[in-house]
Amino acid sequence: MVIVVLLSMAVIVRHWAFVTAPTLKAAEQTKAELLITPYTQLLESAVDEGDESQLGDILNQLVLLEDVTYNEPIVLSLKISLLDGRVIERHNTIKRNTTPFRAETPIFSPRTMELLGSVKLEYNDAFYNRLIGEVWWEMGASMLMALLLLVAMQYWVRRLLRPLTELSNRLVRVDLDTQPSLPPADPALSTEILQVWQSIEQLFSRLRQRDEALESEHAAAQAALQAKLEAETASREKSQFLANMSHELRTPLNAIIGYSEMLYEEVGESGNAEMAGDLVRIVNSGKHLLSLINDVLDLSKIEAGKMQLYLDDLNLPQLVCEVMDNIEPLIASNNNTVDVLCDEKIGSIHADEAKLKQVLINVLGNAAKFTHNGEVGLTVERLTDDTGEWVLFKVRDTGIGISEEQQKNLFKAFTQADESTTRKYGGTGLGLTISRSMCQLMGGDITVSSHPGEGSIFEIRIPVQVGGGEDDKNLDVLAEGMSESLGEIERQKSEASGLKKLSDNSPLVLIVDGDSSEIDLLQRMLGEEGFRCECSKTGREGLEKAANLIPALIILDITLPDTSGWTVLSQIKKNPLLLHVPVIVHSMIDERATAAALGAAGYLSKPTGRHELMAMVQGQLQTSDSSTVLVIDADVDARRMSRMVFENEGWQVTECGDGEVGMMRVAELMPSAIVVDAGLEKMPVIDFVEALREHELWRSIPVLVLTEETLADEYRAALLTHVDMVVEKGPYSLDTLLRRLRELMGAESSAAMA
Amino acid sequence: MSQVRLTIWLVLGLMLSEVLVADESEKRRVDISISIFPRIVAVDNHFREKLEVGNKVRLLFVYDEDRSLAESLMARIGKDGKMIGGMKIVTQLASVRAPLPDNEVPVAIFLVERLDDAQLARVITFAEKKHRLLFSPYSGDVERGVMVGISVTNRVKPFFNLQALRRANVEINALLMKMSKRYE
Repeated sequence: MVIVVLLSMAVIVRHWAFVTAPTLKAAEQTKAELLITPYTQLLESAVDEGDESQLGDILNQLVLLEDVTYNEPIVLSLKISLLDGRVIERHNTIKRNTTPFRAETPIFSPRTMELLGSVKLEYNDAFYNRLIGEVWWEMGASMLMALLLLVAMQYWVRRLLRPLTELSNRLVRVDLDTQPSLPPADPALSTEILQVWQSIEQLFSRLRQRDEALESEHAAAQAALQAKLEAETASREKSQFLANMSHELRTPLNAIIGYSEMLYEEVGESGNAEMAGDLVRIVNSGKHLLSLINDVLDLSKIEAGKMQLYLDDLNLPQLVCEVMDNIEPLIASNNNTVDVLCDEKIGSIHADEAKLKQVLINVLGNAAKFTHNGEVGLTVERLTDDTGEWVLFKVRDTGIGISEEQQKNLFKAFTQADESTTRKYGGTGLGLTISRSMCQLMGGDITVSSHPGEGSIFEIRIPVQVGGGEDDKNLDVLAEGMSESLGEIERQKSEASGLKKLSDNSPLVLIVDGDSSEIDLLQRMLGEEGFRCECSKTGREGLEKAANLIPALIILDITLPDTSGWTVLSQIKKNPLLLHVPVIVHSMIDERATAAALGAAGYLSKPTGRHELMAMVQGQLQTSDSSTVLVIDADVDARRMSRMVFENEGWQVTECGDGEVGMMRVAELMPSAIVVDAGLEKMPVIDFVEALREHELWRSIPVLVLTEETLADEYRAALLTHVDMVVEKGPYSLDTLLRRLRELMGAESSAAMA
Repeated sequence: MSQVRLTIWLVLGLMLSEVLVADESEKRRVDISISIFPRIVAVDNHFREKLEVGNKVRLLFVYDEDRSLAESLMARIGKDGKMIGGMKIVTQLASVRAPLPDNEVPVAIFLVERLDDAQLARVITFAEKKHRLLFSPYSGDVERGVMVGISVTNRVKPFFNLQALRRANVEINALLMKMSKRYE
């Protein structure tokens, strides 16, 4: 700022010195010139006429003139120099040094126009000098004043800003980490600065508080994260423990129960009743121990939050039937009667079948256990209230009843009504705890109403639509498998040419399990039922055997030594030659949904009893054995009509709208026959049958073609090289079709039984 | 449209006023010059050698178109029997379009009007050849080669073209020269 002021001053001074002052000087010079001009004519006349008196007057007049502003004569001297040598002059003496302005003009004779001489005038510079002096003085004074003001202003500004500067310096030196607050302000500071200081102190304090709050939030977040990590670790460890314990505990028990049952059957045949009785006790003890282990593991799973729901649509009457089939022997064993009230049209429930059954069996089992010579009843009804739609299962008995005190502990783990009840009736004390947890997991609950000696009523309330679990609906792994290139299919085809043809026609079951004792058990159980078995202890061996043998069924354990059973299952389902082979997952790991998602046909939990095993195996083989007709027609109504007719014949029907999907269905189902419409657009029927016949495995599948138009002879002939029959659609076409299909299906069944 | 017309009239008016002002200025120059001209004639150091028979001071007034102006100026300079150096003044008119008088050489020549370059050059050549003072009242003519004119500042001073004077071999009184404006 000082520089700006000084520069401005320099500009002003320069302008004054080089522009204004010279202009003033020139103006004074002009004044001198102008002063003499009007007197020149008078002087010319006076000189020309030789009138010295007049000349003297003129000169005196001029030199007499005085400036009132500075009280000095205007003309310092006046001098007339004539050509004839005469000089006439007048002077004014003043007591100072002067640099007068000079003006000289020639004088001519008015008569003769001749040059007479010249007149020289000295014009007082007093006005000019004074003006210049005053201006310089004023300018200098102003500049000096400006400089002084500037200096003073700078001083005052610095002085005013000093507290702010000091404040700023102090703030810079403040160490937020070590100092809890600002150092105290200097009381000598001005009020305004003190206010600023206080405001900054308050801001500092708020920042500090926020800092502390953020730190504690961060610490809490860190702690929460740590706790979460620890909890996750603990959860993982618990899950691993549960998995290990499940496997370690159940495997030997499975062997004990399985071998005991087998021995029992053998002993029973031999008539050794005493040994049979011992074996029964071993089996029962094993099952009891298994039940206890299952309960404990279930409870652990529930507490660990690892219990999962596998949801599906369940037909309620069918479910009730299955439960009652299971529990009726127990009810009857205490001479109790059974009363079931379940409307045939009650509909379905979307819930976890296994868990719901477990709950019902548990509650009904308790009712049976604690009732003698009485009645055990089950009522199933629908209920709608403000909270939604529910299915209510009421289990009532006329048993010993439960006191209010006992009801308080009823759903607690490891407690029965009381110790005497435990001694008399047995049990683990976990059943109701687990049942309630399962109900609550499904969004429902169990409640009890009872009085000692009057029996009990247990109400199991489950939502009609249980949510939050995994649906048992399969992902379509077939599409993924079938999206493989034809090259893969060709490769499989060339491998299939090395298929072993076993002479024995009994169904072949491939067992893939890493446990030798498990293999042995299964092999013996299946063998006794007339099945042929092949076994593999590793996944790799299992895949090789499956590809080579094309078994009727595969029983697959998930825990394999070389790979995961899931991988094996996926590979099986990717193999077009094995797509149609049902796979039953036989495992201790309860991953029903995963099994279904990967294409397993069924699931069995280890240890599996003979009956359960055979029911599953027979069911799968029956399903795969039953005649399936694949209907391929773009017309939905035509397909519907065909379905009705063929299902009426007792055949299973699968339908699709085009040849490409049809190829997928063939690989998936290995149908007994294919009925295809000749008017397919996406994949012409000739292309479809040619592609079908390229695969050795599908060559034998009978194909019947339905056509709306009369085909050209040549085209018909081409078709007939690949298909069994071409039928024009008409009033009797379906009859013709049916007759032929019956012939073909009948021939196939005979060939299968032979 | 009216604004355009107004602008045009304004410009024309300004041009006209400039012309008028210029005319007025030149008229004053001519008026002052006609008073100064005789004095300049008298300061020619060889003025008396250039008199014509009968010791008369012949002054030539050269004009282009405005003969009446020349006549009025002639009348003013000879008014009341003015004399230069005690000698009677004789005035003469000459048109620049006609040959300048070769036999009756004047003492000095006065340019009545502004002349174009060719005309001026002819008159200058004539004056220099005849060693006669050539005076022009018009600004710029001294710079164009005329020997003497006037310089109007805070005072009216004679304005001499020294080279032209040398070419014409005309000498001017040193005292006056000292007090005059000079063009080299």
